[in-house]
Amino acid sequence: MVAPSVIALVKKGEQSAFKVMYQSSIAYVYAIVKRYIENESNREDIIQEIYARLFLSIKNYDETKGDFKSWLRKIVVNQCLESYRQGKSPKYLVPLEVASNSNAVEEHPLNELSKEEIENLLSNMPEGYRQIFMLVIIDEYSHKEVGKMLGISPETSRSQLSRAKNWIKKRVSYSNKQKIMLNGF
Amino acid sequence: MASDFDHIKNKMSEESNSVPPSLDWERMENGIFQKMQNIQKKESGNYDKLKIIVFLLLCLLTICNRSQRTFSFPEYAYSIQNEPSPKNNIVTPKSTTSSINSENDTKLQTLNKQSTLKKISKNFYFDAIPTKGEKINKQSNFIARKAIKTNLQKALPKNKEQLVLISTPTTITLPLPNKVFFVENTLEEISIIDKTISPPQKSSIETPLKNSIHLSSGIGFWDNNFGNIIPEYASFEQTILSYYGALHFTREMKKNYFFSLGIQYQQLESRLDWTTMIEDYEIILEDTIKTIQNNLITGEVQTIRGDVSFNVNAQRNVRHFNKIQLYQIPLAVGKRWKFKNWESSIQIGAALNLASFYQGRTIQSGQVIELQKNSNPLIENQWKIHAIVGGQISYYLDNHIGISANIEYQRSLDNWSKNQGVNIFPTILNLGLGVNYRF
Repeated sequence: MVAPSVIALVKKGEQSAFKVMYQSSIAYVYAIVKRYIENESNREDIIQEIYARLFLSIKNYDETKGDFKSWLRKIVVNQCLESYRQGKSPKYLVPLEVASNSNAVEEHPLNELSKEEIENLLSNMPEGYRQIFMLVIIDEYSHKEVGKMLGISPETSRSQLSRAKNWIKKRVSYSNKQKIMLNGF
Repeated sequence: MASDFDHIKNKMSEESNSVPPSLDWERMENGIFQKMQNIQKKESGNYDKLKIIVFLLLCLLTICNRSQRTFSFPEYAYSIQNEPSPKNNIVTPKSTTSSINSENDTKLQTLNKQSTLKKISKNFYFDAIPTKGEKINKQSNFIARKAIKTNLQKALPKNKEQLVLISTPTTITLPLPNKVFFVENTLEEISIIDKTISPPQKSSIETPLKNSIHLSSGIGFWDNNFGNIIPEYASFEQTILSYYGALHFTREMKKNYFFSLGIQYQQLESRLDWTTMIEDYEIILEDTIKTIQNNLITGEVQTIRGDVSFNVNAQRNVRHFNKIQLYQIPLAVGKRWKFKNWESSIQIGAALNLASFYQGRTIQSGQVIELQKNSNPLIENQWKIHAIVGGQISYYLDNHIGISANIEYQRSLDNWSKNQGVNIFPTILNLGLGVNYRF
């Protein structure tokens, strides 16, 4: 995604390399931010924050410990979670009834849902469920890591994920008598 | 095992090829560099706060250390530089000259080891002592002086500037002027000039006790004002009786003014009991009998099963507990008034929230959700400063130990809210009992 020579130049503080790094990685960063941040007006601010932290902390990046993409993803996810904590996302203030009032998606088997339908489904998911679902299922963090990031116990993370899956199950109606296999996650 | 959620994962992991034009580098560049500056400023601000705390702790340690040094010397040890010339004083040691030679050698040696901290005048010479007094027995005087001189020579072989008189049960290091007259009434008693004094009484040299340590704990009433965030919850949220514990060091200054520094643990708890009616709560009954068809011709009964969803009126009960633990460093100045064994004081100052821990538990719809510090979406109270006003009444059982009752009111000067446009300035009223130790 970003060439090692560019990373080396950014580490040296070469400002022209900042632009190259930004342009090489913005699509990936935006895809993650879009998943976590519902409010479009907040995304720009959060992306600026992400790149500010990225450029400041890139000196700590060690190629031998992992690839740049994973390291960048960690920064992006942490910053998105931080924005929840700082209240930039209004989701925290959504009344508790949101879980019961959200609309079901159109009738499709889960494995035939388009990206837009999945995004619509996840955007209606209660925030507590959604964060954990994103972190565990999409970004493949362990429950222990999720617990540390969100300040909850791994058991709570597991429990929330299970409920998130049930929530999806209830929202996605079956068509053509297809059964969704929910076991084995 | 591959699952339908893998499909979601794959779909959601796809990179978006269409990045909005608003995210072009040219548009974002200034914002990114501005944020870099802000982050650097914030980090340096945190570093400054850390430096202040370290400085305060060093001050506390220095004060404690200084107070220990001041009171660690034997009470009957004098320093010539600090004491006036005892021309009119007479010391009457109770021991015999022979015992001086034997048992006090050790004490002298001990004293000599401590003498690095005692600066003693250089202007004393034995040979300058005149033999004054008509009643003096010259022979005994000579013996006594010889005994003392021998002791000093043994104890202080290289330091003749010191004169050390030994008395039991205490050791006295007396400053002497240029002219001090030793006389001896008997072989067993040494006196100076013609008056006799006892070793100084403890009370006569007692220094006013300016330092004190105060340990207290008690209950706390507080108002969190969380209702400002979610107004509809305000009437359902109530604070729970909380408690605190504190350890303060107090140093008295002039005119009964004092300053105080300490560490305080403050626990704050609240509970939300919220109930609401949901008119269209959706219930899904899975694998339920939907229809039973009876074939009248064949007599066969067919059961059709499936998921059934319908809306009902439901009641949602939410119960939420908050527990906030604060570790504070209170710093205050005050004034005290003393009347016999009673002492009262008032103080005003500020407390810095050095550390903060949050625990929350939400119970709703049969779920128990545990929340910890990072998951608190509403408040952030670390590094916040509270104004403090307090008062205390103490009764001293003796010169050192007293019991006290105290009251303290705190109000946050910083906004605890994480949400823009929402203000949370909690107030705390602490009532407690404690123990004082003066030294």
